[in-house]
Amino acid sequence: MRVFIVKLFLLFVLLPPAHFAAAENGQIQQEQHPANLEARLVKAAMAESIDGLSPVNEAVVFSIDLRSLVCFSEFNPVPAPSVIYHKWYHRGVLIAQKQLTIKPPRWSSFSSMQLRDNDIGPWQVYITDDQGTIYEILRFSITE
Amino acid sequence: MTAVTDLVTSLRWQDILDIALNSYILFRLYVLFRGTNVIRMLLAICMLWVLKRLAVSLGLIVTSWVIQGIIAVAALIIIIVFRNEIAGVFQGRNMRSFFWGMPQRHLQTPIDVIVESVDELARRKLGALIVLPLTVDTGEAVHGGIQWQGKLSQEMLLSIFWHGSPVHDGAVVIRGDQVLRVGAILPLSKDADLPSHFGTRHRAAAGLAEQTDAIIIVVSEERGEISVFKDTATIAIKDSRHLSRVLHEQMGAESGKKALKGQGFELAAAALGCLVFITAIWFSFARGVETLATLEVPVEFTNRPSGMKLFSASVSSVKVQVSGSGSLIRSIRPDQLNVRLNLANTIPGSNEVSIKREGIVLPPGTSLKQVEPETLVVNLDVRAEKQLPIQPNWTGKLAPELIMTETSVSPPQTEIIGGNLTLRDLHTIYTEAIPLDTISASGTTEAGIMLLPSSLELADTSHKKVEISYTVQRRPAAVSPDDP
Repeated sequence: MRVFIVKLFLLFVLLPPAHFAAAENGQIQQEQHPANLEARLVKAAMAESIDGLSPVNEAVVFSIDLRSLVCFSEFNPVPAPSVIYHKWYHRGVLIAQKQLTIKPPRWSSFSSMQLRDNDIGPWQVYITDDQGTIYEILRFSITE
Repeated sequence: MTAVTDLVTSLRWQDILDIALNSYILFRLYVLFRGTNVIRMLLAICMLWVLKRLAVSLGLIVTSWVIQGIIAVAALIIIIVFRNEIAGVFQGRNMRSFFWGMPQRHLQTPIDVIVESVDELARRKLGALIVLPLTVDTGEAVHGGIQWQGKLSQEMLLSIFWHGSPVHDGAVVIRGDQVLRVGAILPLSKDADLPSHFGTRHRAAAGLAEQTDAIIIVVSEERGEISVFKDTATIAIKDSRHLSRVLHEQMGAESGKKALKGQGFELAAAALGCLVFITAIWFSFARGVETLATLEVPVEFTNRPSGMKLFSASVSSVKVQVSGSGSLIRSIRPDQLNVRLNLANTIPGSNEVSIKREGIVLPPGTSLKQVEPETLVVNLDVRAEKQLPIQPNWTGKLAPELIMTETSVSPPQTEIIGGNLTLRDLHTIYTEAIPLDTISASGTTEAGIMLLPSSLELADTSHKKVEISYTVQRRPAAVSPDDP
């Protein structure tokens, strides 16, 4: 038992201050934050793609010719590892729900959607926590 | 026999009332018009109608057409030719006499007074011309004169035809015990065969007798002779007893009791005839060959629970198959059929409600065969209001070198009224389609709010449009891998 406590202590003390880790459809950047804070969404945007951990060509209208687009969200701080959702709605109908894990101290993540011809129309992406609490609703249109 | 019993026992009280009412209406028309030529023409038209039905049943196409044409023309002729008689029937009657009472066919003309007066006029050699109209109106043939409306008496007649009287040369028209007109001018007869000793009075009397069925009494001024003209006949009167007999014969006057009895029989026969006629017509209409018809009838929704609103129904009309006689089925109007759906036991949401038999109202004499569909799905909901964000609905193609980076809607949200269940699943309301093709720079545009489903309403109907501000930027040039 004593050996286990010592190992745990060493793990927290000896970890580098920041590191990048790959996640499902996302990249993370961790920093030290107090654990009692709630995760806060600092940026959310629809974009044509992701390049170098940043959204490329943020917009509210996308051509169907792009064949895909992404929903980018950045949380800072992230007090504890948790789950968020990107819920994609087309004309009020839930089309896809992407579960993303965010981890302390801050985390950027994105989900993408492949576009088909009948996807033209108004869309929304609801960014929520695992309790369904909405952080933000992104509204955009897919056009010809 | 069983068929007749079945037929009679199947009658409802409404059917009996129907027959009785119409029989009475027909009987009253007979009472009003009896004794006139109109009733004879109507009987002739009825005969023609029977002939037409017979011709139709025998397949005589042209004959039935011709008879139908004759009936149409005859109806017109009745109105034109007998307008005076028709007007005479309705004029001078009060409302009560249309529905009750039996007007006397013959007014009691005091023949004795006339006989005594004429006898006295002849004895004094005072020329006289007396018209006693019967069934045919003499208004068309008799002209001029003065309206009198005085009670008939011997003294009055003597004073009218006294030489010093200004109206002694004209005719006196008497109906019942009333002197209607004095100094009237009658049409002269053009008959060349009249006796040479006939003067103008005789020619006038003959002329009116030719045109009407009136009795005309002439007293010769020169010889004091009395003549009675009726139709084409001229009766030379010998004495007052002869005149009395002739008048009684020609006017059809009978003793009061006998006349009343005869009239009673006539009216009873007419009433029976009307009853038989209407019953026959009723049965031909209501109990003819059974015919089926399918009618599209709109559904009426009744007893909707308070506070709930009907938002949709699987159908708004149903097909109702009814049966009845061909005549009744052909005469059905859409407003005679009603299908009511009772929503009393419905709850918010989707309900399956069956159409009950008692909810279907059919015209009298028809019966229900089938309703399709028998069950309707109705969606009811409690009215609610909800604030919903408005999202622009962009369409078309934005220029490839542009990116729309931002939009804002003013007002950003609006209050929508609709069913609670509908609003529960509704989180965004959209604008009408806004074209992108014409956009080349940032700006603003207006668009209407599109309400889907159509049961939704705007709480503030004065703001049906919103303003959309948009920001567009030039797309950054793609960075080439060869660039430094």
